[in-house]
Amino acid sequence: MSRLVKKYMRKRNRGKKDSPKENEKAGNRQAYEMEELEKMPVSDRLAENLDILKGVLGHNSDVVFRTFRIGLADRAEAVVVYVDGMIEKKIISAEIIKPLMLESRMAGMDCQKEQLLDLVENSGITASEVKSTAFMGDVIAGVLYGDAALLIDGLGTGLAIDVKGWQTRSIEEPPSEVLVRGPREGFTETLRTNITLIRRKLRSPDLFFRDIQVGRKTNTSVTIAYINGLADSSLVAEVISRISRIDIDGILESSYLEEFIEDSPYSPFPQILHTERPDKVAAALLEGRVAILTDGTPVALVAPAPFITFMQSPEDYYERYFLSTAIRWVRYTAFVISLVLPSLYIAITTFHQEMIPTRLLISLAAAREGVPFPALVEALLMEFTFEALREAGIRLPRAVGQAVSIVGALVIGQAAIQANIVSPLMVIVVAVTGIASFMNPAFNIALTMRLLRFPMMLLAGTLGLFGVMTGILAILIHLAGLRSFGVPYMDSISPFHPGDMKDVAIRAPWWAMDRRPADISSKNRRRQSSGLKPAPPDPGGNKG
Amino acid sequence: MMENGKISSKQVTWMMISFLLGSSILLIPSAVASSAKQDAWVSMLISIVAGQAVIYNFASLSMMFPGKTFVQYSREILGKYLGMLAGLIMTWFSLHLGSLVVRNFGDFLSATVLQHTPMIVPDSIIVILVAMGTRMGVEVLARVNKLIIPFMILLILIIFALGIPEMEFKRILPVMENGVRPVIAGSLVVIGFPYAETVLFTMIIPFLNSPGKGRKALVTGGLAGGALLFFIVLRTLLVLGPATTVRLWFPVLETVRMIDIFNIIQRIESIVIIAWIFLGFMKISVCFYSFVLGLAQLLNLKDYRPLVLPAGVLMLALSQLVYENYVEETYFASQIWFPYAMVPGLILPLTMLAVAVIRGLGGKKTEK
Repeated sequence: MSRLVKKYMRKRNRGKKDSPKENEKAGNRQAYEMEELEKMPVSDRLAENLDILKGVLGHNSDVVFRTFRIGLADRAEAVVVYVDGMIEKKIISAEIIKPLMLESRMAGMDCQKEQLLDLVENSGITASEVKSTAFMGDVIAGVLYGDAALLIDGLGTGLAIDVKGWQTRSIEEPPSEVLVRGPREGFTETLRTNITLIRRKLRSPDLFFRDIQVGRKTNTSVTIAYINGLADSSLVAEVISRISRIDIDGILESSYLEEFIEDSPYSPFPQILHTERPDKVAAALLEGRVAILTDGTPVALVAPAPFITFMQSPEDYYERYFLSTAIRWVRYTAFVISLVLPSLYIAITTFHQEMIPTRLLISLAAAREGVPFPALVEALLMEFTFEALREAGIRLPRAVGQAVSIVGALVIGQAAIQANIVSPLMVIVVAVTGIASFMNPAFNIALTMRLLRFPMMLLAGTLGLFGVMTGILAILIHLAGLRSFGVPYMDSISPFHPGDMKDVAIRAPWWAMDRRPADISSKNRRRQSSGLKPAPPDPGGNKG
Repeated sequence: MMENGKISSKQVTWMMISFLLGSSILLIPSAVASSAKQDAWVSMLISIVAGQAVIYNFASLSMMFPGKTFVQYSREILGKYLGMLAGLIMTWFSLHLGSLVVRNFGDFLSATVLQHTPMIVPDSIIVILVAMGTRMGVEVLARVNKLIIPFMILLILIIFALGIPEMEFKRILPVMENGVRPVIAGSLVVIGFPYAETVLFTMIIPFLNSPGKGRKALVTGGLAGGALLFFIVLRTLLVLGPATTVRLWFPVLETVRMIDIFNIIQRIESIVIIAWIFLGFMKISVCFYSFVLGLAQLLNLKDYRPLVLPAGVLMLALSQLVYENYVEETYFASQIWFPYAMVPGLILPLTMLAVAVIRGLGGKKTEK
């Protein structure tokens, strides 16, 4: 915390030096620089402390100062400072004010000023989490994160009492990652809740959470989760150093972090997996990966994320493995289709008509007879319409959204063909491509495919199959050179790890997937003892 | 260090297979059959064995100097000036070979799918891709290769299987009709192209993560690649017969064109063209990588990457200038290439091996 506050203040000071006059003007509102506050000790005299606090926070309508006299040490004056709405008022009144004001008096406790701190902290306040600090900066930071600050006259120490309690969304199933079978809970916007959701799945002392504060203005808590002993310590250190490097005014979503910490910022391919599912995060942690949780967003990041992790859905592991294997292959095929199908159609109908079987060619020629455009223009037109419909469908309210789909189906599907603007086959191609791109469990890599489809179509329209293949080759070269936190992006496939094929080429049954991915957890690869394959009991000890 | 990447011995094996298939997959059948006629498949068997000797020779030399490229250890063995000359020969050979493959590439595409497009267009696209891959280092080249090669081998096997209905065994009879001489002549062609060309791997195996396995990896790749070439030649002969095979420029393409399954899968030769784009890319990449790395080491540069762009332009320009027409190309390939390629492919490494053994150089003694 303190390091970040310092950084924040350094930047502020730099700005202030440039415009001293402005500083003076603002002086009334904020009498103290944060740098001073950081080093400024909590004063013995309450009035002094209050002056400072009111100077920094007093202009805010949601900051409450509650002054009272405690029943100890000659009725010393005390003040509780908190931000209304971020705290649980009942706790403040019942656990802080009531014991100090009334119960201490009734219990007949009294003391000298020297014993006051000990008595208040250990015998007075009944709230569960109390931190004492000697610096004003910590007091203010605590107040802004939902603590109640308690300052007592005659004490050179401030107490930050955890009374956090704000309105949160309840735990729901994430709408973008719905499963038929599997847990139905998803992350929320509150960091603590999310950490709890993971902790409840992995009840191991090896599960580590490390906190970093990012954002000069937002002071967002970012938590790095990993399993000690499974995640490479160098990987954890790398993640921490990449996040600590960030110096930005605010982190509002984990995508801010993602763009700061990925390996190749110019790549269209996502190099970090994101998910709202605690079970997916827990599975990743068990493979030796590192999860990054950001306060204020339900989206957690998982790294390293080679290409193949974007193809795997948690449901693969919850359904029977035959089915999961088959579905995986459908998914791989759909992935390729979503990239190349329109460009293949353009290339073949424009340059390589000989590849089309004669009968199909005749019907294709008949269908395209009245269409005035070349296949490339036709495809671009349809793809653009499809993308527009898709985008409109997301933005519009649900009731209007249906109207859009009717317009899309009727106008685009039917009228465009009857008006001879596009051929029926083109509509099929675009529709199949669209469905294929929805099959991907990771939304961000499907977006990449959507984007790359257009240059591929242009290549196909100019150079035919040769163009398509050079496009694929260029993508493959790019993928072969890409890395996700040092792990090759095409890991398991190239460099090839035969053991990983159990979770790439097929989804092997759990009793056969006895090792973790080779390049993710190189130290500790075994995840179960061997010979766990189930078998019916031996009847009566007879062999055969 | 000029190249930070490390590749595994398996990756080298796969690269060797791609390199051998590279341009040979389309050109070899007619080249071998032109002298060996229906016995071209026997020539292939002979040349696979002889080709391993070529590979074994230069691999042994490289094994004596682990972690060093041909250009680096040639100076150690032959002294400053002669060594420089040897390195220069190897570097020139890689540039020349790369240009020839680029040219083959352009010729082939102009003759088949891009008839109305100037040859420089596909050639420059492929050189750009090669330069892009080479800039990223040998590690990336090895990985790209590994992503592609399984599909290529699968494709070759599928095409072999689909050709079975067209095959007739009487087309390769009688065996050894004209004696041994034409068969040997045919096998020499294959030793020169592609086996002698594999000497460029002396620029790649120094980056193995386990240097001791280099020779085994190369020989394995040589055998596997040779076996695939053998099947391609055999298939072409069985489907077309020797006379047609010799007459056609790209007989493999013709055999694929003949595939017709239920009137639905037909005229799929474009897929072979695609395969050739991938394999040709790998072969040109190995040549190009050897060229820029060799040049950088000759000039004592710290990094080869600044050379990539000018070297790419150079290779592209040379590929356009190297032949006047296709007849010249065929003449060069059939008459001149074998002795020409043998100099860096066999004679130079053999001489250097002898000198190294006599002078007692090298960290590891070779067997024998």
